[in-house]
Amino acid sequence: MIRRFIMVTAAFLLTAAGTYAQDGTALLAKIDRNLEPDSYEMYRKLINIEPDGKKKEFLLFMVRKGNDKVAGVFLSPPSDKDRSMLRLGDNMWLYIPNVGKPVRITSLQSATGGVFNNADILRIDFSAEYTVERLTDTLGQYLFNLKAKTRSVAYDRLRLWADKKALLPTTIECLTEANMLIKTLHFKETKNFGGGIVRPSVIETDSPLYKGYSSLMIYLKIKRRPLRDEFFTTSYMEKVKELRQ
Amino acid sequence: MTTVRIALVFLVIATVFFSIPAAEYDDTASLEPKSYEFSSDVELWPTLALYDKSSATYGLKYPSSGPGFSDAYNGKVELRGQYRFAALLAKAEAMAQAGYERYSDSAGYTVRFNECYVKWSPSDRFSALAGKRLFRWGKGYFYNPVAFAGRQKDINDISAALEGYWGMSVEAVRSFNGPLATLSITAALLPVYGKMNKGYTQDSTLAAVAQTYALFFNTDVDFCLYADNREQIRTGFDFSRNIVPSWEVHGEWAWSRERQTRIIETGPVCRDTILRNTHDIVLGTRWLAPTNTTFILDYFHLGNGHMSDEMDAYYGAMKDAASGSVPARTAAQQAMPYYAGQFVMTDYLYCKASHPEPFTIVYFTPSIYSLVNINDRSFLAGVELTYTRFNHATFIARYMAFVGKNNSEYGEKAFRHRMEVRTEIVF
Repeated sequence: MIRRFIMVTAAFLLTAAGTYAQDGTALLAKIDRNLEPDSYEMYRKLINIEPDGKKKEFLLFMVRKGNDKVAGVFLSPPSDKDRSMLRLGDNMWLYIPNVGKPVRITSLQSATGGVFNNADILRIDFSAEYTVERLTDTLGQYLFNLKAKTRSVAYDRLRLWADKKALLPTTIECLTEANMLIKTLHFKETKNFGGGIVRPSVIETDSPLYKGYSSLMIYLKIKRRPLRDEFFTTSYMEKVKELRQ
Repeated sequence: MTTVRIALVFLVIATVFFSIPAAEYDDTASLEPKSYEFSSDVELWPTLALYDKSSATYGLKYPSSGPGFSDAYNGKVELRGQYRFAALLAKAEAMAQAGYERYSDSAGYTVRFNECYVKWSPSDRFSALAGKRLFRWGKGYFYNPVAFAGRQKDINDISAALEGYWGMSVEAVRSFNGPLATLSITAALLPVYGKMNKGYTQDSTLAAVAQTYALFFNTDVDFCLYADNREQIRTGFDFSRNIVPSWEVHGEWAWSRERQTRIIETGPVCRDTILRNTHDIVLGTRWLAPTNTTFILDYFHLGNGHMSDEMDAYYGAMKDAASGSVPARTAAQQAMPYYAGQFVMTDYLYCKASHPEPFTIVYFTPSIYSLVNINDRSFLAGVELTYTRFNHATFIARYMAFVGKNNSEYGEKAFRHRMEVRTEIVF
């Protein structure tokens, strides 16, 4: 009798846990859609801030289609102008005008220096790269414990806090497999970009690996836009800036 | 008089350089695209080289006595502009370069268009181009045998802008769902007549080149072809793939039906000869270590490289020339274009390690590298320090040492040590 009770209880708990994980996956997908539409163009600024307050700013134009195609081009500063980046699935390339051909890069390298790496710039949906290991329902916030689906993802684990009402992230901790903190992202200043896109417009990032340094990612403009697959090819990398309208 | 002119050029460059405002970059750039764009950059790189007075090359250059070092002052200005109107894009990149060497009091300059073309893109999948354009094919870091419509990189500055060729080309690209994600084809006609594309081929001709690119099973693959109306044919392929995200492998193979070379024979006299069915190979890898250090290793084989005995004959001719032999001097000078290039023998190994931002010095990347001639075991070894903190400026310091025994490629170079500090200002 006791054994049967334990088995039924265990089965119930396992089913409940599975259902909750499934809910977590659905919730994470909603957070992804709230952050960015499926196909869009975007302008954003990356700012590296040094301990003495000095800044280096990068302005990027980016386009994304679905969960495997992202392309971007640096519009400033002059020393980085016209460098473009492309992500196609797990493949990433960097195109430098003087070099004149795309060169394969990895997600952990940094095209800008400082706290940002290539994965931060060419990010796709969390739900595409991570599985929900555990979802904790706290007062006013969800806490997602996420685990990378493959080894090609920049961060093995994420701890993502999201506002329950808005379903938008507030804080993300990026961790190694051994739970060592690599960086923390703070989502701030929710803004209405039009077209039903309401999301945090500033992501502040700090890292224990870069003590005293911080970085800002400021979203200036996001617009839904249908895009052709051909825009996301290495042949098109020198022309990404021509997609600006 | 020439010296005065060069000095004036440097004065102008220096004035521009020092007049750059020290203020931080102010991002007031509009998000609206413009139909036209202009940009420019100025590069200054003084160099200091210490001579190896016992080398054959030094002996040929200074038969009696010469300096122990050479200091030279180089500058370059690049101007770029483009204008877009509907499906048409007109683009030009002009370059003026000048250099002055103090010991010889000699100066020189070059002015040219690196690129200058009009491109018509009636759709996102097709474009046609007429004008001067460089096609940079190949995956090798240093040496690209499949770059049939390109120029060899400068080992002193491999990211330097190179001069293109005049011609016409078309490009078509398609994306697919499935293992074949991208397919693109580029084809070009490059005429070599008179001054047009002089040096691209030895004789006047009409050359056709084509490249087919595919992203197939997450692997970049290119097939390249060269043919001309002298029945010369070259073909090859390259590939690049990430085995795991932090480990990339690449390779190139090129075959040429015929290539002309020149060798020195007993006498000494030079003789032009044709090499048939030559193969060039590149095999390389790049690995991002967990420590964030990137390692690059490239092996390359040149099918038209010289053998050890041919190199010995060349060095012998240079040394005889230094001793006063006129036939030897004539032969050495005639052979020089084929013996004094960047890669003259058959097998080389390039290795490089770079580590960005050590000790959290942001924007600073130190690198060490070496280019080894496997055939004679001579090598050059270098250190490079790059700093990219500023919005308008990049600083690069380089040091190279040339090491090798007598009758070896790097042992017989005129220089033993070479240093440069390069400043690039972008507007």
